[in-house]
Amino acid sequence: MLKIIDLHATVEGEKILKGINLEINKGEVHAIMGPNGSGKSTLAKIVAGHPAYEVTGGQILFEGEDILEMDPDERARMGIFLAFQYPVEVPGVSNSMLIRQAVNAVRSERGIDELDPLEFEDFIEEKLKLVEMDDKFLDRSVNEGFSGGEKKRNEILQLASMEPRLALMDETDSGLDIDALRIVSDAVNKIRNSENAFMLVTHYQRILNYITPDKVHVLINGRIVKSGGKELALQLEEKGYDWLMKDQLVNGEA
Amino acid sequence: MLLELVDNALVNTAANKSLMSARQNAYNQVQSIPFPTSKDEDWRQISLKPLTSNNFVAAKSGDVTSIDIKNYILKEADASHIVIVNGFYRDDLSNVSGLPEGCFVGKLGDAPAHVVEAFEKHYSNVATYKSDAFVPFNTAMVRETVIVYIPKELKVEAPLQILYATDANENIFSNARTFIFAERHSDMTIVEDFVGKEESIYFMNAVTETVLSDESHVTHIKVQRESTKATHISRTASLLARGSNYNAYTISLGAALFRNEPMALVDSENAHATLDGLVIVNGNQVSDTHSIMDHLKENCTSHQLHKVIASGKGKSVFNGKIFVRKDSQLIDSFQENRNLLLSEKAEVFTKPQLEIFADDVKCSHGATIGQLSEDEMFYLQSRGLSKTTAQQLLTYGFALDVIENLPVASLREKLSHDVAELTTDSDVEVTYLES
Repeated sequence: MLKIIDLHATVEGEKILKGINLEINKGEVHAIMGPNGSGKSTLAKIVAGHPAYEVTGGQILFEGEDILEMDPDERARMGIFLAFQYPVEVPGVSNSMLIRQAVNAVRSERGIDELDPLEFEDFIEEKLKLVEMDDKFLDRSVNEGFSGGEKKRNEILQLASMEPRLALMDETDSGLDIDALRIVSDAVNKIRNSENAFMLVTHYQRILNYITPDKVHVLINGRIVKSGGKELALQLEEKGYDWLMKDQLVNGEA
Repeated sequence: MLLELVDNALVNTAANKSLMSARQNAYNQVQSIPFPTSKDEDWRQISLKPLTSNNFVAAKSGDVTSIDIKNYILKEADASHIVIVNGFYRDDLSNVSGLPEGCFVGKLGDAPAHVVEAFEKHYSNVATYKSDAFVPFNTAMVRETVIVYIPKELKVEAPLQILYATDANENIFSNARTFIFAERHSDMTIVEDFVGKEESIYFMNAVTETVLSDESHVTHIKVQRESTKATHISRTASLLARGSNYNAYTISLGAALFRNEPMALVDSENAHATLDGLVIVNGNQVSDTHSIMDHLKENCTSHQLHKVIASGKGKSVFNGKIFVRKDSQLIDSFQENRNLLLSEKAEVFTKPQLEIFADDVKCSHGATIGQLSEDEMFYLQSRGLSKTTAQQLLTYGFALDVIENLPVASLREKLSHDVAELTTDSDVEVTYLES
């Protein structure tokens, strides 16, 4: 589904990614772990098409198609979704308006009839249950005045509604209390199926207790330095990142 | 320049004695006060060329030739609107049957004695701008003053719309004059709406005076949607008595050159004044707001949110003066000017100007100039929304906190659409929060 080949990227002249290779197949959940500043959030944003980053080399293929020249909205309509680490507040735009437009944008791309406001009400009700959100959040401006946890749940509500093929989750777990973490993870587990895929960017192993990954990759200093199964996450929890960073230094590539 | 116009077209038909003497005084002032130039600090950022380079003539009639008045009447003001065309009062196009008894809206000649009394006491005493030739020009020249009188203890539910339309085949000038008097404990919303024949060149000189008695509430909305080739010079002055509440919103959409000078004289304790504004400039439009918020007594509050969306080669100027006089303690004043630039060639000037002579006050102010945020754009686009739709939504969101305060739903809807139209090449239907 997603194939990243030797990806290099910079932001404001500074090298952030230094040759990433990664392949995610449908039905898989991949966790990208790493210390702060390692480039893991950047990777997610670049796949989604954030304009602040410049790709200086390599390729990103989605369903076999090179997406690097595509605008973020085109990628979204193709089925790539990014759950933001810091969801943006959009005053004056109601949450239901945004989600309905988003849902209809992907539906029309997939050749499915768009939802009118009434059909949307039924549609969104199911999705709200999934993230245990009150429908009062629909009438409020997007993320405005939401608590940290509410913002994250709102991201998952959008994810559930847009039904992406590839969901990139950028530190969705950070700042969540246990209850919110459980709700978010349960929702992801229900959305997860054999046709879609997830890339979980996380600093901590905690969320992986709830969402079992198929693969774990450790990103340090712009490179994937180690990949493994779910047991790698536990190892990281125990030993931290230092032992992998030392390896890097030994190789003289820090 | 104004002097020539005065000499050529002075109308001396006033029957009322105090009006006559006000006119005579004003006429003398026009002769002695020099016309502003770009050397004057308060006129530095704009050019008055649209005003001086055209030969304007007085309108000869109030005939409607090309615009459809009905189109402009707000649905909430269906039975509470009056229409003035080219400075001529049009009874036949007006309808105030929906206003409650005791409320007077009309010409001085038709006003009952107690309304005339209020008028005589305050007329020309509120719009006291220093070294200003435009108010005297208006006073000397205006054909008819629209008088709005709200009796005590009365809340008027329907908004009153005063439609000033300009519709002529030559370059005319006209004066609009509104006098609003709110008695004790009264409450009313007044929409002054300025429209004109598309693409026509004219000069509108408008003056509004609002007098608020104790505990009265007046919401005063000025909508300037003139022809984009017109010049509109505007003075809106208000005098606030104890515990009164004056909420003014100026919406600037039209005109090649718009100069607006709102002034609130907060002249008694516990009064509150709002002078909010929404300015949209596009093409070569210039919109200039020079405001005065004057706290003359203690224990008062004021609010000024001035939002500007500048597109094309549009230009906006904001100078917000806030005065807190020496003994005016415990004032709580807020001023914010936010500017959104949608193009590289748009220009914005902002100058908050606070002069505070009391020591126990809270005055906050701020001014920002920015573009649509990259993060917000990316967020909306990552939800599959096209760039255009994302721009529209964010621009709308920017304007919203001024628009949402307008107590007239059809006006809110109209403005939402105007804001959306600013970003072109739209193939996406955008729906808004309005019901």
